Amino acid sequence: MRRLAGRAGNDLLLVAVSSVASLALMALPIDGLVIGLVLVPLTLVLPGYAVAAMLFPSRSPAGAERVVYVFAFSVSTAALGGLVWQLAFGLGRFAWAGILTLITLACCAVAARRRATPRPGRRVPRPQLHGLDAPSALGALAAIGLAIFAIWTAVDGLQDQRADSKFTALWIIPQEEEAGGVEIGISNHQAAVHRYRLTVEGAGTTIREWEGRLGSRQQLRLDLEPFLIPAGARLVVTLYRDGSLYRRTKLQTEVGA
Amino acid sequence: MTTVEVAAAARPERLRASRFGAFAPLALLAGGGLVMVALGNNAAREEAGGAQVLFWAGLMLIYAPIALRLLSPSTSRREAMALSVLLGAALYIVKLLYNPTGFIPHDEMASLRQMWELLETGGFFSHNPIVQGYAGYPGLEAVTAALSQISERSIFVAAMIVIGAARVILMLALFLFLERVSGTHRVAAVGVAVYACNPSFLYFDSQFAYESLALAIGAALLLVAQRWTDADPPQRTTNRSGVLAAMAVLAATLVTVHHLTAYALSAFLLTWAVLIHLGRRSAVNSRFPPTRARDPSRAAGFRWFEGPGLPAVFVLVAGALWLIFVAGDVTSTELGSVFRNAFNSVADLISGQSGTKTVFGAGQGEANTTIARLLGVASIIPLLFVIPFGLRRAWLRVDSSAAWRALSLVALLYPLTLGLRLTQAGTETSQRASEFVFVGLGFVAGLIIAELRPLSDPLRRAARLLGLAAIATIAFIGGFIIGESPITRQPGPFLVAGESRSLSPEGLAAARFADQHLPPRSRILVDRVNGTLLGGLGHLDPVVGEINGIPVSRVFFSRTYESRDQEVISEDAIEYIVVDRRFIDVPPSSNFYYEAGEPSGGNAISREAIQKFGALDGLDRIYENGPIAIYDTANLRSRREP
Repeated sequence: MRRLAGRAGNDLLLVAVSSVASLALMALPIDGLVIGLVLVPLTLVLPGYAVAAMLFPSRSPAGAERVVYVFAFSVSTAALGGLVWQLAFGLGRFAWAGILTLITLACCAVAARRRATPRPGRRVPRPQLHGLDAPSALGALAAIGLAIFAIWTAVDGLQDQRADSKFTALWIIPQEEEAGGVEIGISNHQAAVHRYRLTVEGAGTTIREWEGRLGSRQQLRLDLEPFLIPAGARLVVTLYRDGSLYRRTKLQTEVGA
Repeated sequence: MTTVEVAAAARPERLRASRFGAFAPLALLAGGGLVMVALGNNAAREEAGGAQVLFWAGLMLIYAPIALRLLSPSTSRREAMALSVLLGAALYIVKLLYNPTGFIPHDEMASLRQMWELLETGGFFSHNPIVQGYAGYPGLEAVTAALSQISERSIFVAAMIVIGAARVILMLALFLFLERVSGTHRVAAVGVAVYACNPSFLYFDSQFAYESLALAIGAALLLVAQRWTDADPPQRTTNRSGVLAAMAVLAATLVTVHHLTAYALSAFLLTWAVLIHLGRRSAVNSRFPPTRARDPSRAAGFRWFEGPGLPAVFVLVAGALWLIFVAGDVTSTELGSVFRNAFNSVADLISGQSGTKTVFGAGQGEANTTIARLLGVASIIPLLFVIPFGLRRAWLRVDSSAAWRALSLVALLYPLTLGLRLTQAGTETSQRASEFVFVGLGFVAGLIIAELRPLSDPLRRAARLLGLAAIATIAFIGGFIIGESPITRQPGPFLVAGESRSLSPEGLAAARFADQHLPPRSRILVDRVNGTLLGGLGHLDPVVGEINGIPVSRVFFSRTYESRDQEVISEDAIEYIVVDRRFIDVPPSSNFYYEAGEPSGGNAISREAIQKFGALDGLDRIYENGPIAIYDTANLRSRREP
């Protein structure tokens, strides 16, 4: 490691350690926005940096051009690495992380060797990204703050618009796991609490009734066991909202009691 | 000293000394512009007054001040580069403000479906029922899936990060390419400002779709190709294998991301290579002035593979292999219909078999105002104006290069793409071409503006700069007007068949129901917008087209259920029918409800046609949320007769 850092540059050591640390972080039972953000470079930065360092071991290209390649090669790593991997295996969270970390480490090793090879007129590269000066950084931060405020405003407006929609969904579908059973559901998409009454009829008789209140965004799911359903009956579900007939759904059953 | 160098030397000492010049105040203005756009969109959602004023003023507040600095000869390289990134990022957020919590129809839902397939199956090439082409180009979905799974963020968050990063990289790469080709950051600064005026830039190229990422990868490949071509012989031998591998890797990546970008880039690289080759011939040199001394077309011993011909071959070979072994079917299906329709509509227009479409029309929905039409036309004029001057500069004057000439030829395509807009089918091709054509337009505009004679009078200098910025702003606003239908520029109340304006809580609720309760990949008959929601979020397969010569959409239009409707349901194995009652007596905002050429002919669907499903024996209404009902056809499919 020390030799790698000494002869080839601390940047490669940092990239290699970061990719392994990211992999280790994923294995820990912790979650959250910060962890998620910390793991973003494992996809969009570290592999591309390593590939760019391998392909361009000298100081040039530097600065903004290297930033372009870091992103582009990161995309290449995910797209081409994933493409090859999925020919033989499935892709999951740790498969992706493994592919990206392995490629990153391999490219770091090759980059270190290429940099260490003495060639005339070449020096160990140091990333040449010029940071913003203080006033520009402050301006950028303020702009980011305004952009976040704009997004928050837009989210607020969108939620207000969607809150204006006042509807309740009703469904009846065969249960997958229990042959002959039926699931009935009500979903209140309104901002207010409402009183509902639901009746299920089949072969001329009422099989099931339910009455109650559902709050905003609340759902009700009723399971109708097969022995309750008359054989081959056409089930008709009627929903009343606040005392008025509101919705009706139907299902032709095949199996029943 | 060239004109450009003279202009650069005339910069005020104070500005030259500052590192990022006016970046900070312009970033604040851009932030303020974003807030105005958000407020304007909220007002549009509520149909409140001032919605359009806030929206357009916000856009201008973002673009105009940045354009002013990018066009100014006193702007330093660092400031210009930072402003290019700021412009790209701010305009990307404008798209995000349209719907900041989720994807919008149509292409984003197709990408979302492809993502779901990738996450579900772990494989890359699942069938995509919304846009078939996505099944053959999984590069975007791969990187987004990796990011989403590794960081455990939602697909939406991961997609926004990937596309946002791609936008920043596109602006940087474009700036660097134009700077290298022209030899001055002035041309790059102006070029980027003009590139942002392309009709696809604000929304289409900011969406979660393969083209948005491909543009960044293509620009990166262009940059390496330029580095390869312009390298001195000692530089070329120093890291030949590295640059070759970089070009090969990026070419391979590009063909996995997007077909058209790969074809457009290879066409440009080939043109550039041919112009280098022709420039070395005495017959051409006798007709045109020689290129600059350092251009490859004048370098002794320069071989074709040392120029853009080699990366062109990389892209072509990779693209051909990809077509043969992976994506031939989906590519020919998707692009074949686009180009066939464009060709046929232009041929019909020329032969007089059809008239022109209503330019600036918007189907049955809101139409463009007179001011919008004027701005649209006004935006075209300055862009057309720079083309002959750019051609003259690149072809008839000394100190040019093969790359300049190739870029000027790209700019020359602009009038042709405008001609395509005279037909409905050609408009899509024109729209898709704009993100490539504007690279050439940006370059020639940059060349002309950077070489304008410096003015000693400060007042005249300021007036010229303000005039140029005003023209650029008109080009930007007009470009957006040309590229985006008036009904989808801002969010607003629900519209029937109005693309992103048809995104409603009821539609989303039906799609979530389908996701949770219906078997994935079930075949459904549904309108276009609900189909993208049910395909993207609900993971069902919308069915379009014909079966036994019967258009499947006729099931929705017949007033009574007929034997031909039964044939569609049975023969095309339709498992569910989705009916949207909001369509009754309301014509589609974008000319059709289900698919182009449907039996409605753009007229409103009748009440009887929609209500027949409720009375049809054997059809089970399994889901109902008011406007939207889902019918299960299990008992109907097995029938022979209605």
